[in-house]
Amino acid sequence: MTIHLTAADYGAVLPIMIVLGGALCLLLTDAFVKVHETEIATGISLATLLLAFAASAHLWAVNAGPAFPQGAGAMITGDRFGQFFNFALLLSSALAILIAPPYIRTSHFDAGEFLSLILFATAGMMLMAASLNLMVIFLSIELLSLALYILSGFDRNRPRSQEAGFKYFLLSSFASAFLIYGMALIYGATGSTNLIRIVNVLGGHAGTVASTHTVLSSPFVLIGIALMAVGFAFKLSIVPFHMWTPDVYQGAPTPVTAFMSVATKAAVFPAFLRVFNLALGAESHRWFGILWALAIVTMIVGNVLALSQSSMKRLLAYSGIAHAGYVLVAMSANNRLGATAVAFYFIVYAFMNIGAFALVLVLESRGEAGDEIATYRGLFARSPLLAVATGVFMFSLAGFPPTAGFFAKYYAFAAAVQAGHTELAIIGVITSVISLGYYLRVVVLMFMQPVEAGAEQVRAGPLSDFMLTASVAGLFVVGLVPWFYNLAVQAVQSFFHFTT
Amino acid sequence: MSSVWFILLLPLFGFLVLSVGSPLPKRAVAVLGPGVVGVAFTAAIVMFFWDYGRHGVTRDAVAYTWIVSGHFVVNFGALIDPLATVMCLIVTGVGFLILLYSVGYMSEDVDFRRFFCYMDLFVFAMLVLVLSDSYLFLLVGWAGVGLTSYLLIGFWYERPAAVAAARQALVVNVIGDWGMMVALFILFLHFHTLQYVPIFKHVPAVLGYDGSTVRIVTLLLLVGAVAKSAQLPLHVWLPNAMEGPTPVSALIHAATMVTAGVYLIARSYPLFHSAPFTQSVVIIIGTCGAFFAATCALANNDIKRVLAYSTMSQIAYMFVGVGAASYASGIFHLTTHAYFKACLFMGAGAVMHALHDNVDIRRMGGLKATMPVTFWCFLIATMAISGVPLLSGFFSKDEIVGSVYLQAQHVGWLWIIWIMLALTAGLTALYMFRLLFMVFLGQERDPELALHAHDPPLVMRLPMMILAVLAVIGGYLAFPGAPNWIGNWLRHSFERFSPVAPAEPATQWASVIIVILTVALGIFAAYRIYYQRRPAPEQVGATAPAIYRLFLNRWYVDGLYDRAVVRPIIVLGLFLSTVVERFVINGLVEGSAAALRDSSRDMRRVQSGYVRNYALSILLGAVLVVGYYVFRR
Repeated sequence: MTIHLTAADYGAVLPIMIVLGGALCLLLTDAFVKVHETEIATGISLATLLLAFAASAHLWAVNAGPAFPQGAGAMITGDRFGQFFNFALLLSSALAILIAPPYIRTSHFDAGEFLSLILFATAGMMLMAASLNLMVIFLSIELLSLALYILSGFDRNRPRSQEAGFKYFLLSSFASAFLIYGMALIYGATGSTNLIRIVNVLGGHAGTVASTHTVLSSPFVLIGIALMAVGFAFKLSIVPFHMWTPDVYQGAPTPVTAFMSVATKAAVFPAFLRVFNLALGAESHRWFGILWALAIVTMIVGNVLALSQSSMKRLLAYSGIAHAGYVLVAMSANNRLGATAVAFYFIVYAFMNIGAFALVLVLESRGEAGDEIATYRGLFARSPLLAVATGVFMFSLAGFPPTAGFFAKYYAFAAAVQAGHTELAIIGVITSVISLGYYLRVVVLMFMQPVEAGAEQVRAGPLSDFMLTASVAGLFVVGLVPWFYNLAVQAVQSFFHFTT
Repeated sequence: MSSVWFILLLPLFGFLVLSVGSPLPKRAVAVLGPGVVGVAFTAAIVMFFWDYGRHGVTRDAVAYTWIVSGHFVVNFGALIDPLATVMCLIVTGVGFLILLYSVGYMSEDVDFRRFFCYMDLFVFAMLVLVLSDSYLFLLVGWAGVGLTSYLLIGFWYERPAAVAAARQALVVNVIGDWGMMVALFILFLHFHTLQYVPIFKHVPAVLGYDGSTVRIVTLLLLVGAVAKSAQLPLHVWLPNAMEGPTPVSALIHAATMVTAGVYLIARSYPLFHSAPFTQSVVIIIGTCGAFFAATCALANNDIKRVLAYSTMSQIAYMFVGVGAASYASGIFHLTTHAYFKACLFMGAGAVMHALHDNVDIRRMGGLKATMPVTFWCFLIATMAISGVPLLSGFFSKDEIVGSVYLQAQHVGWLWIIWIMLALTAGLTALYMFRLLFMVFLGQERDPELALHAHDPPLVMRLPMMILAVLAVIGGYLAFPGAPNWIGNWLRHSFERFSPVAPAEPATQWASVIIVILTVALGIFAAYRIYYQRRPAPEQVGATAPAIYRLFLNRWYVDGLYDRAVVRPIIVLGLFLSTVVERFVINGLVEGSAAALRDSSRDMRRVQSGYVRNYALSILLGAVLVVGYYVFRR
């Protein structure tokens, strides 16, 4: 069999290739550069991400319309939906790398090695967002996970970090088995791993051997759906597959936590959407019940458990679980607004969640116990910028207008209402109210408590200052200017079957 | 891009820069604070000529749609028409002059930057209010000016009186905001939009003429207008608002914000036009307020509070103007009032500066010799507000009184209104000249206090002089007998929707002559009493003790409110906070919060840290998910 690749095929993988190339360059840097290694490596990674962003934006401009510009034998696609998530992924990668250097220096990390692993993970995530085939989805999930296992255990001198990496590896492998089993069953029932072909088989367009009804009601398909849902849910830290999340988030080096808290979800959700809303979209009544229950449990457990945390990273881990629940609400709506809401959510989430980790990171880089929420007492007096920015992130995470966090949540719940599932929106709003209990606690500590005598001023450094200012500005701009939302609307044109 | 966005965004930019610019030197603040408003004024002039060049065509400039949720659509848009343009020119133009004046007035204050920060925010909020193309953003601006008014009244937050006054202003304004909001809810219910144009186009079709809904909506809007414009019965906050710095009183509590109620009624004219009942209420409230405030001003001895009551009285005239469907005359009086009242407040500020912040006019006198420029400006503005012929206030006030006179030919009870308005015109002359004579003429009563009295520096003198000039020539926009230029121009705003507002009436010479006579009588009385005899205030009171005490105590309204409203509410509040709050609310809120915290703590125990437990949880989850299919079948 000969593989014939066109220019369009190369174009579809170009952003991913750029990131991979950048990662290899970083490894070379590691071998040759000895002075100012952190600065040079940071510069190379940011330049790589910028270049990949340009390539992705070019693909966006070229691939308008609802058709699938298919690359590499319909294994992956360069459609706008994938590009939109590429923007979110590149953004979260860049934001995490912008705040990483002080931490890299204090922990004596090998900058080239560390950052190249982040880029490898990013490449795997981008591949996942672009995949149009179950095999590629599995492949990319392993690619990104491998890099993340190593990153989680990167701090060799800290047992907590080692524990995090090992736990993540063990549990993730366990969950991956469910995923691949589910994929195998779907392949067995439909005869294809290609999502478009699965649509055709299940939708009865392809004139297949088995009639649609028999295929759909076959236990293979149903158990396949169930097992794939389990596999995806693990990666998204959906309850009850979430238990690794707080431990790994807390143990992993903080820049890794910041990165994976957003990027993993921004990579898995598009694949989840492509499989469930596109390939199995017409059969939503067969999976809706599962996602409905998972979303409700996730929103409640995530928000309630976050209340009693004294560690900021664990708090944000549970907050991340809760937010996965909100996004799941949007996804389970299985309509155009829902897919748009999912896409829009991650642009917003990148700004507010990575920004929230910046506070932990800045304090930890100074050798303080930045993970302990109690250390934020009177932070406003020590660093007005850091305190105000974190305050904005907390308000945005809690969903206060006019920050973008409000609109992200609003569209997610509006999708559920449009799909006729008001109960999901109601539970979402109630649990959001509960979330105020922990988000505002941080704000109260920072602004309304006196600073301890003798506490030093905190200077975050120019790159972190830039990142914080840009994230705060981003949250207001995305909230007030509808351009970004319209972009997300264009991105979901790939889901051509949506009527509403 | 339309120049309107520059007008809007420049003050916002100034506010944002000043709010974070703690390292900015004072000089930079002094340039930036007034500068942005000055540039915005230039942009407003550009917009003015642009629109006037196109024959006062109205247009809607929509920047973009922000939110779409069912029927509920939120645009960032501006409605540019003669009404909005006039308001815009006043807010930025007079605002610029007052900010310039503030550079001198506030130069000694430690919170120089904070002052200009708030002032720029106020100008922005006021511009949002007048430029908005929907009731929604009108409300945003409405609340914004309320907030900045609160912040600026309480600018000297270490003075308990200032804080109390700020709180009072906020509370009274919230009553108005409540009325506004309910009105907007009802409007949205009937029109499915809050945009002006679709509402105004369909008022007669949807709400009918003189129906109960349109009555309720307009009355609720009137509650908002009355609170914001300090009219009866929600006027009590305005005199106390004089605790703020004098430029604030000039800009917010005289020239612009307090006239927002007049703007609201003029803007909503298709609604008010369909509700003749409410129009009558507006006229009655206005007339009673004009008379009431004039009597209060007559007895008051605080230079700024006299001006505050006079502001209330003049706005009451504007209410009568827009209530009598003579919208252009109301807006015309709003314009001229902005000039002379801002000038009067600047004069008062200059006097206070010279006399170490003393505001008691019984300790003043003879300042003409030491402060000639201030005296002449104050004199011109006093003549203008009193309605001395050929100055601006004469033209604008006579238009309002004249239109009532004209309508009284058909509606009998309006004669009472007309008589009261003419009488109040005389009272206005009396209290204003009383103020002038007591402050600037005669012997100085407290020589020690006035020892170092002098005219203010140029940066304060210049805006005062410009406004004095405007107070003279501002009236020629509508010279009696000549084409009513401003009226004709504003008509473009008031002819756009059905029902069309009636044309501005021709000058009513009979009314004009009678008003001139009462004004002359008022000035003469002031001259006899306060210039020739110069009695001690106690002596004035002695001739008519009961009525003097009535006026001095502001008709006992404040005391009545205190007993009938404030104290019962405080008692109720105490009851709620001690009994209901502690046992009911806290029980519910803290109970549920505690329950959540406890369940959170219990659920945490599951998080054991062992991989085997975590894997078990995943397995159980998988079994449940698969089981869902098994048992569903």
